[in-house]
Amino acid sequence: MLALAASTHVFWITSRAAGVAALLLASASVSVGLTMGGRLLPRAHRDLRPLHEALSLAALGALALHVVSLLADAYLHPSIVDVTVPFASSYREPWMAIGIVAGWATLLLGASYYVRGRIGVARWRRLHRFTALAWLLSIAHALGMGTDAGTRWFLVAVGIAIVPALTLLVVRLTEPPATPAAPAPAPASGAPVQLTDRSPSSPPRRLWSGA
Amino acid sequence: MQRAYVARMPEIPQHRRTRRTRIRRTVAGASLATFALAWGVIAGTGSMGASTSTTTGSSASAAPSATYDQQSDDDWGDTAQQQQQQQQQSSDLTTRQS
Repeated sequence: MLALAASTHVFWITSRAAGVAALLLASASVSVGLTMGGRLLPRAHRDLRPLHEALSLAALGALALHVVSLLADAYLHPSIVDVTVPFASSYREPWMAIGIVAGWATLLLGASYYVRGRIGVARWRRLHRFTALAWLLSIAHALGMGTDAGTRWFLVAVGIAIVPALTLLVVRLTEPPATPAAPAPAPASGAPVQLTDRSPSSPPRRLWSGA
Repeated sequence: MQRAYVARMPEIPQHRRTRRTRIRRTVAGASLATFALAWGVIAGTGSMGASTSTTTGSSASAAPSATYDQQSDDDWGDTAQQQQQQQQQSSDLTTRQS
């Protein structure tokens, strides 16, 4: 039965497996990102950044495979417009459109890391907070599409990945606003000046606080 | 005579570069393992986003076959495919009746 299913629906299975992997990797990346920005581990910012970046890139790779393999599925054979433009297809709307919006948002917000020098670090940081929103949309897409949402293995796997990230997100959203740190003394002439807006002693900012 | 200044990129220490490479390889391996595991579970359960139907008849095998759920998966708006399915259903009906 395994061979029969695999030979007939190889791209369909590949797309679903890649979608599951993308969701799990994105959840892990969100968890690491929230840990970096929160007060849980004050010194974690620099240590966890390579892990956060690697998980994000892996999630984007899985997301690309999720879409491309769906295009190759012989049964559904959606067009490229169907899988890239929200509400272009009539397949299980609005969950399909939510997934497309989440995918584009994840891609653009993730890629913005590499142009943060151009758009400004502070502006990029404000923008980057919306990644959590894209991640919530991807959860809605996964549960709403329903292909694997009713299976026990999917719920267990996604629960293991989502619950820690959701907990960290709730903690981050509900934590009291940070008191501004005392202004640092002016560096002596010739001393190196820190150009970034984040120092180890600066308190984390609230998500979507606007500043 | 003017001196030429070349902006130097800050060099990443060797131990940090090694650590970054190790993290990337670990994440890549874990990602592939997650994908392979999910692929195996989906293929192994035989659920193609659908019901698993077992056909019983003189010419049909007793082995269950994984099929798409027409009620949930055929609403792509592809009329040609829907017509083909309807024709197949009607021919099956005729066969059963005769």
